[in-house]
Amino acid sequence: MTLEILKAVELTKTYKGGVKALDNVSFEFKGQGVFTILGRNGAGKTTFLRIIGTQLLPSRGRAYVLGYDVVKESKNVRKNITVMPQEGSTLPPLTPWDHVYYTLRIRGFSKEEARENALEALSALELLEYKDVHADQLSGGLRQRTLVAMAMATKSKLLLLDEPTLGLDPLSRRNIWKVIREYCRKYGSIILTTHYLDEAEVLSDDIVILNNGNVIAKGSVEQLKSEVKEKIKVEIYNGFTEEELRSYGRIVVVGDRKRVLTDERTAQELVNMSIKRGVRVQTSPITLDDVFVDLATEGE
Amino acid sequence: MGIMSVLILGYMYGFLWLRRNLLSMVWLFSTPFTILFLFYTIIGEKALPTAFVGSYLMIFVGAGVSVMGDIVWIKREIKLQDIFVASPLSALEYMAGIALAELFFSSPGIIILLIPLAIMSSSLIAIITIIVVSIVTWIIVSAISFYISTFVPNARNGWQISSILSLILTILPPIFYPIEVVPEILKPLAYLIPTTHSAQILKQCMNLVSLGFNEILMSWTYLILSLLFSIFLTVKMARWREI
Repeated sequence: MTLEILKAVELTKTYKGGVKALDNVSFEFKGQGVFTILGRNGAGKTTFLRIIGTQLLPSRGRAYVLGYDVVKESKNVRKNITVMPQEGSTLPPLTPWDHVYYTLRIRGFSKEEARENALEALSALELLEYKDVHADQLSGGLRQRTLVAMAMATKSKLLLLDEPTLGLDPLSRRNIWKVIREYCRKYGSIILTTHYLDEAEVLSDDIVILNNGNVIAKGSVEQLKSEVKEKIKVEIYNGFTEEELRSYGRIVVVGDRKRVLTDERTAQELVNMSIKRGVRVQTSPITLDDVFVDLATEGE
Repeated sequence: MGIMSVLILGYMYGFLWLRRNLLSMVWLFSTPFTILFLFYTIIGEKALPTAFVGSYLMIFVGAGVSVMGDIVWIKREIKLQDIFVASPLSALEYMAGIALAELFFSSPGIIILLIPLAIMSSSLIAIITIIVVSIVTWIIVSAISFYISTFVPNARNGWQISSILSLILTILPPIFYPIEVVPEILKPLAYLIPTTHSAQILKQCMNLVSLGFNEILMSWTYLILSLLFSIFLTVKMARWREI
């Protein structure tokens, strides 16, 4: 039987003051892997993660993590998960070693286990050379990596990482992706939130896209791409009006470019015409980025 | 989980911090010692025994009240509390760990003041009573502070409310002065505050007041009930998980 990592049933959260952060959210994540909740800022990702992480009560609906009800069986959920909060920080005079090692000890790990796990996590996140540096002397990126290490070192069945690569440079982000993949191979599953589409595309076994507190799509990267009927995007830098391009496909204006989502044959036509006019043009298969923009802006 | 987690959290957040940042220690006992100094300067030597009791108790109250500011800061500003909420650690263990850390910060002041109190007290039982009462007071104040902290929306409010709480627990009740000087109309209010009873028992241990058996019993009963109620607040009523 496939392990049910997460099941949300009509999960709704309305904050005091009437702001509805989640509206009847229902979906499941099954099997071991990396599961991503993707969405724009304010889509409800953090609220969702905090509810399934037992830090916030839902207004209505149910959620099950590893088969346990997050409200009624929160003790069982808490034994099996570790969270990394969004925009969390570190305690200034403490070192990355203190943060990772003592958090493990507080969770009940033995000295030996804690030492071993802390070293492994700090090494994986390339923090060993900074392990004894006070957190207030570390860069923001190193502090962020310390938080990821605190979560990874627990080797919990499920990690909930809220924007784990926020504010990191491209190389550090890629290193964290590698560590996340490795974690899933060895220890358990990860549910993460992100608004980085490349991150979701590279990492995810299954993705849910939230928009204004609603699920607007769910599936693997390939499944999501297949939801957009146009498979090719043509990016044209200038030389065409929107009116002219409309007959070739769906248009999304991105900065100084016009992006036309269309089929292969029409894309070829458009390229030929652009070359004739001497207009800069570029074609490529659609990415998750296009799917996201397409879904998130639908009806706008 | 359990006592070991509490001790390690206290060690991590208190002792390690203190070792690397001595300023944290100074501010916690600066106020009690300032008041002690003021009493000595204005009233003279005869004020010292009462001022020692008041300052000693104020350090424990200060440690307890600091729980509020720190917990709000950890929760709202650096957001590390979420890591502990979503772990097997209970609200009571977390509160106890942070409270222990605050006690580490206060420990030099406690030791300094315990020496004259021990010298001036009447017996070994009195010294033990002084220690027990101060620990009970520290737990009560820490637990109440924790409970309130779970409703405070930001760190600045946390520090503001903790200052008010400190005032309510140390200036309003007669810990630095005899209960007799409290106006009659305010006396019932003073008796509602647990630190009044802590101070009364401590003063009895120092032979500064002469309480009857019933008064001692009442003070102890009130302290124990306050202790149970504050733990109830932490375990059952605090907003460990937000709504």
